[in-house]
Amino acid sequence: MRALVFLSFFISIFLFSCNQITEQNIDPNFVLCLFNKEETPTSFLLVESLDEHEDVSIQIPLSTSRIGEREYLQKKGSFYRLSDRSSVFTKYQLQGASLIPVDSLQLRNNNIETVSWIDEENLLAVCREDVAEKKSQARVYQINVKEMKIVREDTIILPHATDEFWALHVGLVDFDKGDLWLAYSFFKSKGKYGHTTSDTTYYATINYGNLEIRNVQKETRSTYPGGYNIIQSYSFKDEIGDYYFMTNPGIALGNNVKLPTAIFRKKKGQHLVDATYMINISDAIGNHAYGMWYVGDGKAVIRNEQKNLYTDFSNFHSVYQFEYRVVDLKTGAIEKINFPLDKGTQKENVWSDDQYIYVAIDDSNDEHRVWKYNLKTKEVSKGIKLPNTTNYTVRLDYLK
Amino acid sequence: MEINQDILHKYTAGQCSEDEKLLVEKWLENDSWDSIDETNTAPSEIGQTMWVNVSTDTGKTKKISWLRVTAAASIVVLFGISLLHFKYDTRDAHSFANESFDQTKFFAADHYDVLLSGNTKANIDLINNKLTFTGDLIIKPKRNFTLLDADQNTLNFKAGREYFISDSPDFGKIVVFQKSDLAFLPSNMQIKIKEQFRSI
Repeated sequence: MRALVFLSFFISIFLFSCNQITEQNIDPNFVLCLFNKEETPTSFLLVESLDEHEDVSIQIPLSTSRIGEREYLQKKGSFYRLSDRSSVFTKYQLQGASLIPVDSLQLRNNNIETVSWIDEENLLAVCREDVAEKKSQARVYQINVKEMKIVREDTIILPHATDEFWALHVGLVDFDKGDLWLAYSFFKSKGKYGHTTSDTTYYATINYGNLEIRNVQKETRSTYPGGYNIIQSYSFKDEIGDYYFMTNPGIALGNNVKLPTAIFRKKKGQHLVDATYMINISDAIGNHAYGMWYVGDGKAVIRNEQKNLYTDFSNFHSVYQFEYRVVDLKTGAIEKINFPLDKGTQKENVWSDDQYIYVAIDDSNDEHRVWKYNLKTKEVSKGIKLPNTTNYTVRLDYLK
Repeated sequence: MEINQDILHKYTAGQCSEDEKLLVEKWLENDSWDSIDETNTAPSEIGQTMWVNVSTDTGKTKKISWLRVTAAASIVVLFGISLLHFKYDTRDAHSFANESFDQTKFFAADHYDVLLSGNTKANIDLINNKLTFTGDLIIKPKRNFTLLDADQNTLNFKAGREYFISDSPDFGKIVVFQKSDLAFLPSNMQIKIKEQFRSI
């Protein structure tokens, strides 16, 4: 392996000597994270626009091809990543065609389950811990990312662990009026690798000042709230501050497939999830979905699987099955977008502006392209074509 | 001491001191995005150079003299093939076992490296192209080969890749995932695989 790495290294050195890259001065607005073919390293593709005729780009390789490459946070052009080996939380910035580490912090945990932003500078990161001791215990970090300092870190022990379903998954965190709000569920291992989630979701409201649990709301309409939102988005706030989130009991996340994928709402200023509001996605489309992105004007995009097209975990990610739909959050109406079928589990590949929804799709013709959906006319058109060395376009992030 | 192109050249030439060798090997195993020392005056940062050959259709790059490139690449490839040919003209069959409960065990064979999870046995027979195993393992082939598993499925292995292989009932059948595909498994599953194979 090492010999091959170096063989390719020297070939590329040679190629480079034949082919000096023109100094590129682009001001990128977007970064796409590409898993590439032939197990070559994952890369970032920086572009100014997502339009079809965009032809200026820079590609940055990430130095390893480990499986956690797409697990990072991006905000205003800075990238944050937690090493699962060293538990070091590092801030990176783009500098020309390089990704430069600018600061880092040592955390106690090596795996972030969910995050949210208190404001532009303060990140809340929640980690599950003490799994081995069967405690339903979460560690919450508040990190000031401007100064790269831990503002505070707390351990929160959550009630309702059962003997059978004892392992905690904290899928969502929100901060509202001085209170922490956590949505979580419990799962159990099945065999060596499998797991399934119990049929109940819990919503805890916690006084962030003294960490007193003020209220725990029990939800039985669906399970597995959120997911790992450093991989994919499952919640947002609309223009008036109402908080919407989805549950993900499908095979790729909660694996309690009899319960429906659904969208729920917590109104601004309320600690309780609205018991009268639920959009049952599975009932409406006959499939589970994973991922939800707000596109403005009371509408969100979801990304759904097609259970008749995959067999199991072995091909779930590689078959062209994923569809995109627009959900009207007020009426619950769901409308399919006529994009090519996509592949790849849990992609963070949707962005929108006032006019269009942009989705990076890896289609069955091995074409890798951003597709556009006109929010007014509902027309689908082509956006930027991505390198044909791409295998999966796992992320599309706006840098500004 | 920083990783730079000089030290990588020395490493491939086998001229590194023990300290330098450790540093390079640590860098190869590193999971951060940190790249090599950028203060070096070498033509460019290493990652950028490695990407020239895969990003030609994405950027505003100057025209490449493809004739020169092809000629040079051919020489390199022929040289590589000749090395492989001389080195790998014999096939073999080996049995491996790891009776430990939770520790992995590493074996280096001529044509592949293999890492066995706890309580795993594997028989890799390149003479008859057969793989029989129980448990979980990672194979890193040094050459291309094809194996038939116990269910007569054809499994293709390519040199330079890493494959996770499991007969766990959780998957319902024998599964072979390339390393990059593991990123798409449910996070809990990934965590369990990473707990077993730290190098993933």
